[in-house]
Amino acid sequence: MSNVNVLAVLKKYTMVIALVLIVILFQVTTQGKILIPQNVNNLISQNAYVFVLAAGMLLCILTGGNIDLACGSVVCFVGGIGAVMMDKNINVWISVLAMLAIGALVGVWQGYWIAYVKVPPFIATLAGMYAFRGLSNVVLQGYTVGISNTTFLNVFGGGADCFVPDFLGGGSLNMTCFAAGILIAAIYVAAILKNRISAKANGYEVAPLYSVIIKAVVICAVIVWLFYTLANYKGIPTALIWIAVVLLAYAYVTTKTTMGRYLYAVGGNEKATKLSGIDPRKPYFFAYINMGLMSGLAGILTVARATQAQPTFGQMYEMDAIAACFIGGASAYGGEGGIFGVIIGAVLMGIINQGMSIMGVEANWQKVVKGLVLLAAIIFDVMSNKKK
Amino acid sequence: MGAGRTELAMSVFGRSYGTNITGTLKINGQEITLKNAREAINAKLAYVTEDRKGNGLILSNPIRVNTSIANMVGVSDNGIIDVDKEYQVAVEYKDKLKTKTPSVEQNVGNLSGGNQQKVLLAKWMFTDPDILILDEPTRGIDVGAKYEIYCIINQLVSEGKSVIMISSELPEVIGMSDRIYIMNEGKFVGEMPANEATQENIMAAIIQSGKGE
Repeated sequence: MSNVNVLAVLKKYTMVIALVLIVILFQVTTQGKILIPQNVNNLISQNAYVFVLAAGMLLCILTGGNIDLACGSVVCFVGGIGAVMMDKNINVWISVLAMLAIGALVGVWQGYWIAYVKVPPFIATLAGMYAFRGLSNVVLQGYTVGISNTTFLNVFGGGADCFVPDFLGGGSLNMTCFAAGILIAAIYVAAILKNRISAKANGYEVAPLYSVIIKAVVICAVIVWLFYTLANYKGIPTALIWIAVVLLAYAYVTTKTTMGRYLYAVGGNEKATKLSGIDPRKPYFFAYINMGLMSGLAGILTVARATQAQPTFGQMYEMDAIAACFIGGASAYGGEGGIFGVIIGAVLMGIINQGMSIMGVEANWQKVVKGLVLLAAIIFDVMSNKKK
Repeated sequence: MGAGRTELAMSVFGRSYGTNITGTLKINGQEITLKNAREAINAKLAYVTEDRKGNGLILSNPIRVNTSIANMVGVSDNGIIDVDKEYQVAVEYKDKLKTKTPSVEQNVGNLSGGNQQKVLLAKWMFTDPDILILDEPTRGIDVGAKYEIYCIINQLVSEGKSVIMISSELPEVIGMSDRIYIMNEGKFVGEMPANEATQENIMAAIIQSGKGE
């Protein structure tokens, strides 16, 4: 392995390395409390909305560093509508569908202005941020509306019982959870092997064997460790399933579909994309509709976790999502970034939050640290672009 | 140059320069209206821009992606990309055009000007056009790559494609063309078959047009 290779690998995985270092740092400063099963579980449940919103936000950022400032307000608006609907004893699944549909409609509304009327995304979504915050207050009439529907709470990760039940009956260790971890790791290894064999059969160049093995071992170890830890608490939190579904779906959309390709193309060079016969308005529209849909889902997860809806929910959520994307390596100029980065960015933000909370750092100082981490990530992006 | 060549070519290519233009467009004697670049590509037109970094290539993306971007239908099925096929296409054109690169996964921004031009040509050849408009195809590239681009153009012509080459280098124009149109200040000021063309009478056509005003 030459020096150039080492540098390239270091650059590619800077944020992963940063994440590992930060985990070790907190492991020391909290005397190992950061990685106890309950904290790992909380890390996932508390940050579910960040993963979901950041996946939607990634699409917007890919189109050219565009962001959606409205998604925090939309989370509150959608959550408020759902809570009111369920409070009036409307069927839980109808309520859920309505919440997702309203989220998507908000996306259509904002996407139309941004894509077809060319309103700058910053302004269009700033308008949405005010408008939907106001509408949330109107819907909730300024009050807190509680949610008592246990089906809703269990399925979307709220209340005391929001875990996948243990079908295998493993006593103190949740066997269903542990088995799921092993199964996912096995599927991952099988997928890698299948890819590699078919690539070799077609005569494509493949990455060197040792690097593939190292990567697979690390990822499998993380997966198995995560599920083992969760099994030691109460099992798989239902919120994790929603996170996984969203992340897998968006990983597929961004890497394997033509629309995903157009998102990167528009962000990379909009004029060239237009001259290649692609209508650049479509990727913009698509990105903001998806952002709306994800805001809807995040709204569901947020009110489920809190078991109520308040007109103040979702404040600064948009900033957490944006920060997760940029920390995860999405380029502020558009056209670069991926779901893997979003996962790293969201976990990093969550770990910093939780680690400092356990250490008893004051909330105001936590914000300072988060701000500095975000700045450092963007400086890194700008510097590495300059060198090209 | 200010002669209006790029403006004309882009206007022909689906009104890409601006939609506020007049005139009729005929292909094989049939009048045709092209409202955007997609319709122009479907009518088997291709426009290889002179500004390959600004209007042509996505520098932050690999060769594979740049090769297929104008013809995603050719490498996808119902909106799902067949990455294997895309890879094969990119390798096929890389070999055909002798693009010098360690891999088709290399970002286009890392290539030399000549090799970028070849990727741009590959992208448009993959759309399988009948008429290629090449806008200054040899601008800013080295002599070896220039010669290779000429060979590719001749190859395309021998396959029965029509090539409209826009150039301000007179030796290149005279050496490559069958028929030459001369533009000055937005108007055609002369037309001649290549065997009658010399640098002197091309320049004469331009200077006379200037005097007329």
